[in-house]
Amino acid sequence: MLATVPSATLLGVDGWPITVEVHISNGLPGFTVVGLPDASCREARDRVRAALLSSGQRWENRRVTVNLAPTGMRKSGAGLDLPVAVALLVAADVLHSYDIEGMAFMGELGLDGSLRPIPGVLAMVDAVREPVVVVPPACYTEAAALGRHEVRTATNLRQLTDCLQGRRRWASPPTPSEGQVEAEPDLADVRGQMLGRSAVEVSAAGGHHLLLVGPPGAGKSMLARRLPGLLPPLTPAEALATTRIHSAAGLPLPVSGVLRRPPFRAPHHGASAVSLVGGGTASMRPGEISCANFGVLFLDELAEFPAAVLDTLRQPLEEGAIRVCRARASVTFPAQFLLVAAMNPCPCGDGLTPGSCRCGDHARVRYSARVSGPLLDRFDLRVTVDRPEIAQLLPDLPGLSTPEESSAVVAERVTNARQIAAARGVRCNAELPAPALDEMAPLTPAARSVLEARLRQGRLSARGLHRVRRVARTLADLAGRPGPIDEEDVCAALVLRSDPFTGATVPA
Amino acid sequence: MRSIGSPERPIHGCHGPGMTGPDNLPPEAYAAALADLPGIGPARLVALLRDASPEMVWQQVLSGDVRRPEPSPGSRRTGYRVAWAEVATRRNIDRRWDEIRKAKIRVAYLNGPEFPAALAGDAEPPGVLFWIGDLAVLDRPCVAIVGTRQCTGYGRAVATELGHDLADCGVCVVSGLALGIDGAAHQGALTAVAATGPLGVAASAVDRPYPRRHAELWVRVAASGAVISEAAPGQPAQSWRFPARNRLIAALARVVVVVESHVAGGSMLTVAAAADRGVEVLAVPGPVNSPASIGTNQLLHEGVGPARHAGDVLAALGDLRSWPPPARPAATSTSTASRSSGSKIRQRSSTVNGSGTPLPESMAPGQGAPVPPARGRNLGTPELRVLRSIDRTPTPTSLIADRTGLPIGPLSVVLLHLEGLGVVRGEGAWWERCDRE
Repeated sequence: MLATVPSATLLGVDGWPITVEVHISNGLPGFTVVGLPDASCREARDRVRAALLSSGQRWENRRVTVNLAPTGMRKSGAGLDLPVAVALLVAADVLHSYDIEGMAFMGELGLDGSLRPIPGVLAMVDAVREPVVVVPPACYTEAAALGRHEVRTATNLRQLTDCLQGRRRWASPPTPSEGQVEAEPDLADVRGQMLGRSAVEVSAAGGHHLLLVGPPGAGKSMLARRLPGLLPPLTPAEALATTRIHSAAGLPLPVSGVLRRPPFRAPHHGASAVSLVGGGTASMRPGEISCANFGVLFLDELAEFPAAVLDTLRQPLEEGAIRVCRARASVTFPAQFLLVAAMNPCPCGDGLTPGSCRCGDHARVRYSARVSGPLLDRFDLRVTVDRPEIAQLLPDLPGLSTPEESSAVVAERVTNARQIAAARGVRCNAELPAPALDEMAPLTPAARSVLEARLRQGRLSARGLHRVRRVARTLADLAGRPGPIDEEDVCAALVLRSDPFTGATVPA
Repeated sequence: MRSIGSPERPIHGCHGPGMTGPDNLPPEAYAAALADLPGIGPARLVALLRDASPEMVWQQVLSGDVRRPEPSPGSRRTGYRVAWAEVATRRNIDRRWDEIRKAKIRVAYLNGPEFPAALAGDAEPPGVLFWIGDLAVLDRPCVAIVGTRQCTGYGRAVATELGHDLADCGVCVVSGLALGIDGAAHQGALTAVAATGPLGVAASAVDRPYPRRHAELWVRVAASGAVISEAAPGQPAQSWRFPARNRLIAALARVVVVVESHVAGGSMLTVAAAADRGVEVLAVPGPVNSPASIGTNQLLHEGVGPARHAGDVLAALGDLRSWPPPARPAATSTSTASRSSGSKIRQRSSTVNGSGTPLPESMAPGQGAPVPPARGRNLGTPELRVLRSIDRTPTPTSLIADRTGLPIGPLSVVLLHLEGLGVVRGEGAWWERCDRE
């Protein structure tokens, strides 16, 4: 009359083990779910009933109590449908308790008894202590990615009951159809844009946040979308961490079940602060910045984002994680993303070319002030992007124009640079700690004098100095110059970090 | 030259001129106190100080012989007006004077020893004048560059270039420290290396930068030239002070250049004030369909002379040199030589920007660096290639990179090198050619 089935629920990007207890007793017929279920969890009763009846099972017309333990924790989502149904079957003596020995269940049930996918399976499987987990077929690869459990699956409740009773063999795992890998856009498509291309390459190699400023149609978004293609594939640990977040956020995963390529997230500027940082629902859905973990977060039209939303980025940019606190729970989401932003130089957009701008002085200053100083300071690379000149778009002899460097060539240099950084004990040069710079990024006398002159003129701050040295280190790594940093790399780092607004507002 | 403005000169003590006060306060202290009375304006101050020393006037105020005028019949303010005698008895002028001296603010009064001659002869002189910096810049030919606050990129670029070129030729650029054209003219004047310091004429007190956004510019102008104001220290900008400020600009300048102006506006008031004083007005031609140039184009239509470049302005000052000036003596450095140290770069830049063409006697720079012998420019090939791809207007780095096709590393070295030579001005992501070829 009593049955317990292990399962798990999701909070943030972490799974928590749950024990589903079902008790059937004589009394007034009824079905109660206790243990802080949310609305979708409480609705399990109607889905489970229909699913059992559709699968040819009898519905116990007695008093059924379902308890979700630990009872102090709020459960959400439909993932507990399956364990409730299995526990009911055990309590009703359709299954024996030894049939489900050492097994955990998770999945949503359709009214016809089919097993439907749920978000966050990877994190939930991770929380389960039992050696065997039963998941819906669509979640099989994801659950198996962890490699710690034996993963079993069935297409519907009837099939599952047969397998558990030993009357049928477990279905062989669904072979992932080798779906075509979505081709990432290639850097060879970008015509001209010498500075933009270098900036994108340096950004990818060193993990330096990048701000692109230019008129509409200059190719800012085009450059930004080619950045993830330059990044090396995710390491197994990174892949698991990122897949976990995407799974918890309910984003579609690749057929292999695990993300191998760095993610690219480009939220629209209408995004709310909660949608960026996470939280909001009872299960604390991860936000866009966490979905971009180990990948690229692209904020197009940066100045159009509300200032309050942008300033929420400051903490995660600094710490690589964000702690979201709500009354019921507080969750830490990983957020180690590469921030790439694009904006126009002024409201009319033509501010890069003197004379063509139609904006008043106040309008320009107000526009550039929309991005707060502290946020602007976090961009190691700040470059302008111009509309390509006509000759670059329409070469004189189309067949003879030299093709631009492709993503593959640049990605190789980026991978090399990242490996050099890894040898220093950091993931990328942007993470080099300031005290270690003297050892890891020493300067030649010429480079030193360039920086000294800048500091003396008051055109470089102490923090700016560290950032310039990190960028210079990346430039040297890309060029294959292992020794002390030379003048050329320091100059380039200074030019790549110039203020894209002062020139527009005060050309002096 | 008078020793005006030298901060070392003791002001407080028995060495100052006109030491008559019972507390050994100089007359300047009383002048400052008079200017700080509520509701006192330049006309009233002048009327009081025309025939009496500041200290005498102060005593008259204290004794109630000089009263605060009754509000004019048309005035809307009808509330109680504190009498000057009441205010004056409560003022601690000793402490005020101490504060003024500590803030390095200088004071001159009408008929006083340090009062600028250009203003003393004016029809509407200030009664008391405050300044920070060195008023010696007024000994140079003064050119006012004025214009709208709501300027376009074109106006800003022209104002900056005029400010730079004129300052380079030993002219004191006078402007109002406002947003837009005024600020751009000051910025330009400050970037000229062999420059004469500019003069900022402020509507608020010299210790109350207005607009706040120009606080830094304010300090830089005061450091290389001077910032003057009629308002007593601590007084904020009041709307009536702006037209009054414009008359001072007109009174100080030998030529007034209007860069951009809407149909009506502060610069038109300056033009009217200049016309009253017989000061020559020049206007920068603008696009006929630009609202920011309607005022200037109207002036041109009415027969005002055009100012196309610094040469036109110099001609109005009586300096008929050809413009642009012939090629300047150039840096002979190779790229490696001057790159080796920051100090070398600075030395180099001072020679390049040193005035190559001798000025007429009246305009020779005071610090008169010896004119270096002319040598041919000897820049390397990549330097020339980069230089040719930079416009006279701010050019973004991205455009230079695309035009030259140089990789970012070598390009940056060349750009910073050219900037060190003073051939190119860099500001943020913008570069601007500022050599004379």
